[in-house]
Amino acid sequence: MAIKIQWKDGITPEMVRLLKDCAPARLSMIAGRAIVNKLRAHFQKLEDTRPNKQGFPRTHFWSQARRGVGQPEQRGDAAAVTVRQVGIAQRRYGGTIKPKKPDGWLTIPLRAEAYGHRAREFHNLVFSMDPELGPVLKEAEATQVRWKKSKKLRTAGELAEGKGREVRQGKSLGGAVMYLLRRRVTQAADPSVVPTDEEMRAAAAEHVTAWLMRKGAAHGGPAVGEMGA
Amino acid sequence: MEARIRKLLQGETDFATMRLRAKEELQALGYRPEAGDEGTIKDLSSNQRIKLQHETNVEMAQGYGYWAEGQNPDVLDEWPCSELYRAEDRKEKRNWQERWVRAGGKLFAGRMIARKDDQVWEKISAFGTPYPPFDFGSGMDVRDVDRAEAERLGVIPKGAVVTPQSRDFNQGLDLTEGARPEGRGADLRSAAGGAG
Repeated sequence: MAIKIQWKDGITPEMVRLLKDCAPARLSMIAGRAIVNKLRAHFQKLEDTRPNKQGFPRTHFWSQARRGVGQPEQRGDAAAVTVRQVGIAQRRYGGTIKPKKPDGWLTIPLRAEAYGHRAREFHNLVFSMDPELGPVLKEAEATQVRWKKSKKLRTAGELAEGKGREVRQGKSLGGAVMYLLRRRVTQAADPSVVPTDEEMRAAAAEHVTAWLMRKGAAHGGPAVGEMGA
Repeated sequence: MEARIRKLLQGETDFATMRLRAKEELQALGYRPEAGDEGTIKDLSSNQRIKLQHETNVEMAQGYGYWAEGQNPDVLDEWPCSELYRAEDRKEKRNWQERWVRAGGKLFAGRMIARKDDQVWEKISAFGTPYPPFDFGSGMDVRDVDRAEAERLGVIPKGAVVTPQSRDFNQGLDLTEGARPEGRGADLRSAAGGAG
């Protein structure tokens, strides 16, 4: 984000030197850090206020986004900041998501234990066509097996052959729908997941101005300035 | 694991995909946890073990990056202090304020703030590093405190200069006996159920 600085009056020779000689890189470093901090604070606010809608255990997505705010990279007299977090651009700009493979499915978790997990982490999921939900992955139905000690007296030889226990049928398990399967999902853009451009400009301007004012004051200031983007 | 961590840091994958890959790799190695350890932190393939291991590594690299950039003299001039705060909620929370004070940290309006060159950062860390994470799964993080606020709260006197710190990411790291390459091979073979 390039920041244009305009000075009204009260400028000192040191300020002129700062702005002319070394300022672009140094100022973009300050502006970049201000934007990094603004983004981190914004993601922290989302972490504090936006748990997942289904009430599933949190994966701390917004906290991961906060930590994923990269350090400013110098690009001429501007600084670029990248948020390295899968899914953040999708939330900000929206759009249609399709599986990587043309015949693949997107998996949408329906239960807390599926949330934050890939379907392939489960070894007991089967494809099913649910009359209401359409294609889904559900737990394979299974019957619990219980072993019970036989009451009948057995010889040591019989016990060694495994005849000392009886197999009983236990509870029926499975059948829970874990994931919805979809060929595509379209999400609406949510600009509120990042601060507005104006908020980021204001944060950069505030800190660059404070820094320049201090430098100016230290070298014959005070200087009065204003910034724009 | 290094490749997975790098992908996470670059934002090229997410934790769920990374966990799946880690499990697949362990499966390919023929890894089986010790009897009784299944699903616990001792089980290399358990969700909690993979999560802890990868999250700590990723957070450490991210914490270092934010800290190192904050040592730039101009950045330090504008943001000379940091605040330790709770970034993520936890069911069971450690008493960080007590740990902070015990390490020589001071409270300013109830907040844990210190100069960036203060020794308190290393003292509160279970890893001896001046940047987060300061302990496993703590949910704590740091944020910059700018000069105006730091001076207003009395953390630093007006015009105080904070000294930039220099530190390599791997500084202070040493392999324990069992983790050295010669020992690690045996451990991996043993973890893989005697294969190789």
